[in-house]
Amino acid sequence: MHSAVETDRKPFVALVGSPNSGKTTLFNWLTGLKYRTVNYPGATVEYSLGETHDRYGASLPVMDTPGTYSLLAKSPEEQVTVNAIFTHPTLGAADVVIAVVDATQLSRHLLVVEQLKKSNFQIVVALTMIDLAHEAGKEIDAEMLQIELGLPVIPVDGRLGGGINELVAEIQRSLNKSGTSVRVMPKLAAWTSSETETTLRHTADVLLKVIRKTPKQRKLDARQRTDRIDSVLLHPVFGLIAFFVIMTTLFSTIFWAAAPAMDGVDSLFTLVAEWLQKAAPDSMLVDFLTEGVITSFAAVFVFVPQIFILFVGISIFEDSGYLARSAALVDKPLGKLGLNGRSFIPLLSGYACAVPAMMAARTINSRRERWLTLFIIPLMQCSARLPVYALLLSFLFFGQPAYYAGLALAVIYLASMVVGAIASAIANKLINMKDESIFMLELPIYRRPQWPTVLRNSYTRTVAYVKRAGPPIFLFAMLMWVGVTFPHYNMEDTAQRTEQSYLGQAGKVVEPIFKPLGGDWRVGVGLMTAFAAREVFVASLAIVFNIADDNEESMQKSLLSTMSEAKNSEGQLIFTTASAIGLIIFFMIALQCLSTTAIAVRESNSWKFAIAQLVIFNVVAYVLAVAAVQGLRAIGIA
Amino acid sequence: MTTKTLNEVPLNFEGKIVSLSGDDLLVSRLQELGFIRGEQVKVRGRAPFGEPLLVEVRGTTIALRKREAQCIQL
Repeated sequence: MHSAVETDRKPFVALVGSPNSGKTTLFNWLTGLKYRTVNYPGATVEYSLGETHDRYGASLPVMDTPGTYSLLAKSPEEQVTVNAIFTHPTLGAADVVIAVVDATQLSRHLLVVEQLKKSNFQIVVALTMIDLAHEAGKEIDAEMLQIELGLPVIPVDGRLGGGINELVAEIQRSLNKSGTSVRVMPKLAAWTSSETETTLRHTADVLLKVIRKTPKQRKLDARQRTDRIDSVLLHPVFGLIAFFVIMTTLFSTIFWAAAPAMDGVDSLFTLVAEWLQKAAPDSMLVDFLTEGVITSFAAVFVFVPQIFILFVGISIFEDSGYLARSAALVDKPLGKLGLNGRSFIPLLSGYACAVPAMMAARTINSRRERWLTLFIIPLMQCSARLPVYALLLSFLFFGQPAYYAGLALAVIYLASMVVGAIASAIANKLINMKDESIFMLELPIYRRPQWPTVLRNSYTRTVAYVKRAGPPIFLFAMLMWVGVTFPHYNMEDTAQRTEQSYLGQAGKVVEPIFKPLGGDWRVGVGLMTAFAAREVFVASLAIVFNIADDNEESMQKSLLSTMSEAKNSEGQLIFTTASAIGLIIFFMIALQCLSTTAIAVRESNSWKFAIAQLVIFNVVAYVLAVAAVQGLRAIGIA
Repeated sequence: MTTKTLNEVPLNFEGKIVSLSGDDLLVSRLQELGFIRGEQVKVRGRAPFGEPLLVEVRGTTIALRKREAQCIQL
């Protein structure tokens, strides 16, 4: 099929192996952590591409594929692995496949090796986790395994990088060997369920020949240590307590540890803006750069520290083995809502930002459960809502002890979980999509997370976030700037300029919509600009209420006092207890983030889904907010 | 001897798999994880809400929902 391009293409090497086989660690060693993560054409599945590091004496293109137990793909991720090694659109078929097998899991991991063999691949077997097998008193005779399989077997050390030189040398030998003869193209071989049985029985026999029992090196081997830890972490009572403690720790770290870094990002952008303004005061270009470009960039980058910390947390869970446990722990309750244990990490990520959360939902096999998860992710209270809540809660509890606002924030978070559960349960009843729901998850042994892997993973994912979320946020922030600044750019009075701007005029047109919420055109402008990014609402209010103060703390104070006096054209107060509560309810439910919708289109692969989601959440948010405002007023709370 | 499904046996029960049932995709997934006829399995425990089951097979632990465990006859 690819014979036409065979002559001038570089040979490429693909890593194939089961989940938890140490495949990615080996890939990190091979590439020296230099690789890029790309989306497989036509699928929302990512895989990594790199080159073997110079220190191993050859630079060969090498690919890391999603983990799979078999070449009979049963999920989009597994399908990508199969497609990538047989018929990659640009690279063709893999010239050499490195089959990564875990020495402690040989009896299961050799299945895919047999399938690769039957499909005519040139194979080099990389044997990982020998240290763990050794610990458990099992010595693997690699030479014997080589004879049994009829394939080269190279033991590698994932912790210290031993054996990589030998592995690369063996790959080169395989390439040279195949280079001298006419290439037999790999072809996915038919494979029946009885073949799986026979192969797995056969591998059990092979093991009897290649494993030599020796005295155990440690009193407890890795498996036994894992069982001990699991007796606590999966315990009906302690397991749940541990789960809450671990998740609360991650959660608070996302907020507390990121705060200084976020302030840093913020001040950096402010500094650049100030410097620019000093360098060339009063020019449209500088205004454009400072208020348009820099503000838009800041809106994208201010969340990077939080998202990076979130990814570090998730990578630690992944690398240590806790990720699978956390999914198992919540599978039952989430299952009741039509979700899956694997929905948990995407939902948790939603509390930082919906964009990486939706990308994390790719690991959910069932299409139905994936859609439901994608559907409710925007209800998780992302961090962009925090500045808005901070403002509205300070308004509501003005002059009262700080913990009142803190408690109210906790109520908002809890209420949002309830709303999310209800939304999922309702959508689960209404959604017309049949798909089998399975859980079935291997609980790997616990391991100490490896920092280079964790940091590299987190970095890659953070970059992916900036690339995906950045352009839409940036674009909309720019549009909003134009909307509130023009056409009367030269007007002295900024409040008046805003009032007569495109957005200000639009705000007046749609004012009747915001009336039942207790707001006027200015609140309308604030809510419209929030579609660029929710936190922009605060800055917009400051502009439309004409608060000119550069100091953030005193700005909030003057904004609060202006808000408490602001009246609409009929002389009624705009911000009251009722209308502030209405706004909080609106922000809690409304899908005001156009980057989220952009990602929803991609991840659900359906415009209909994304638009329905956008409309439903905004309409429901509006109706509930109006109901709250009017209801509160009816019982005498203005 | 009557057969029982993996879902019905008590905690820490050890036994050999007699047969697998269910749709092909499910059976094939189970097989690839090591659940094949004649294989020794052990129910190690259950997750806090009673599900999934934690089942030991071929030196590893697999979390299985009841519905999935029902497909395995011992």
